[in-house]
Amino acid sequence: MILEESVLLVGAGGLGCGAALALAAAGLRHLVVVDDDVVEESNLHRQVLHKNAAVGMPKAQSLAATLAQRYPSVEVTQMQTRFDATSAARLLQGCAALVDASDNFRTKFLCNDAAVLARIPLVHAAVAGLRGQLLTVAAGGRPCYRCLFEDLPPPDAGVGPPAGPLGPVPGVLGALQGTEAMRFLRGAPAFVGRLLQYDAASLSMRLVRLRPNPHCAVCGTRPTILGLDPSAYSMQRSSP
Amino acid sequence: MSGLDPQAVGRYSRQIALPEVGSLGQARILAARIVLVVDGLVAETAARYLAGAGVCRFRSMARGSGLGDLAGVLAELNPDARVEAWPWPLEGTAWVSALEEQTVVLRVGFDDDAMVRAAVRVAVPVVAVRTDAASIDVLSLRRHGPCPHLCLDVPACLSNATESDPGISVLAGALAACEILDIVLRQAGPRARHLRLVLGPGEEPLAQDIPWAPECCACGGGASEARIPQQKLHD
Ligand SMILES: [Zn+2]
Repeated sequence: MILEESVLLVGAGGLGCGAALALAAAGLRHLVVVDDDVVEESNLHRQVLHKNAAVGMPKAQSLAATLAQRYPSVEVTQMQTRFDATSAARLLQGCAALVDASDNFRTKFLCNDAAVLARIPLVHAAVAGLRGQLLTVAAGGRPCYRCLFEDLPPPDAGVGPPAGPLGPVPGVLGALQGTEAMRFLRGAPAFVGRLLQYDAASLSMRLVRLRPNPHCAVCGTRPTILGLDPSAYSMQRSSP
Repeated sequence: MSGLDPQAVGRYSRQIALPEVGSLGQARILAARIVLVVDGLVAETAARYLAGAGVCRFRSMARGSGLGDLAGVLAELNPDARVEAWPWPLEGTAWVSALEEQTVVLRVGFDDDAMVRAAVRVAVPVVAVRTDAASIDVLSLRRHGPCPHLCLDVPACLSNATESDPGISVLAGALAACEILDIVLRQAGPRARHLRLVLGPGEEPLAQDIPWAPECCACGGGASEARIPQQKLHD
């Protein structure tokens, strides 16, 4: 069953490869993939749409080429650019859903704010080591990613040599994102307002129910994030 | 990082840096032999992720249309990946030869007593996956059982699904790859276990250990003499 709408995929890394495979398999027609990075050798263990020979190639281009080879009916638009406050609104235009497959907190908060403001559904995921999480945010939020996490973590959080994740872990979360985005567009999402936590070491998943946060800066009763104008937009709410 | 060549250290550096993997774990992944007892998108996806993570040796026992050019797909991801096509075993003793010396079996669907009994007999863990339009079951069986066919009251969810959502098959393949790597890393690990995920607004995931039944005729007290049925398998 083909779905004619467009999905915006932010990130062509581990989550992005899993999401793209699931979206294409499930019948998505148009995928827009945004990534300004290039493929590195240490990506290959988990980013399975980047071939061994793609090291040094832009990730968006590499993902688009491999996906088109496996699923010729999917039209992939590749954008070798950064999803930031300047480009977000333009990139979201015409897309029916946003899949946040980014690998950093700044982009995750921006994806959330941009999707809530544009009233476009968002499927968030994140991975670390052998664990991952997923949350679907309905158009307009309530609840949204910021209702739960509120603000960027302190800049020294999580500093250390890059480790992990175990290769297929972002594949699980990414494929869940792709499946969930398709289910959302077909009217049957599973994780709206429910944070899914996956642990590969114990082969377990659990759900945490979220409530809308009335003090949320983007979807609360008195929002302070009202637009993405780069001169006025700051994803950081508290002073550093 | 002794035992791994410099190229492997570079390619798998992020996995090796995980405390759950390390250079010993990566060496186990590189040496693993995985049997794919099925064709289709679940197996293709699992094989992609396993080859990416460092698995180099696959034995494919596909029926029907088979796995297409799986060997070609995997070689583009990981030039060291090899796929050996193996004829579909028609009876129990052929299953024993097919599974001997292998590390983990991936079975998609679950209607095959002879395969499970052979795996129990040759002590090869089995990861069995079943999907349909909105749900996934992952059963992770350890060497010498328990085998869900015989130790559990086989729930209806274990029978082969007629129709699956291809997106869910991709998800199931990635989940199976994670579980296979967990078995490889922990050399079978603690307990046989089961994850059931139903995609629906009110549904809760189920994660449970699979109990072992001492009276089980395949993996119970008489397991060393496990009977290998000679009947032809249903397709
Ligand atoms: Zn909110």
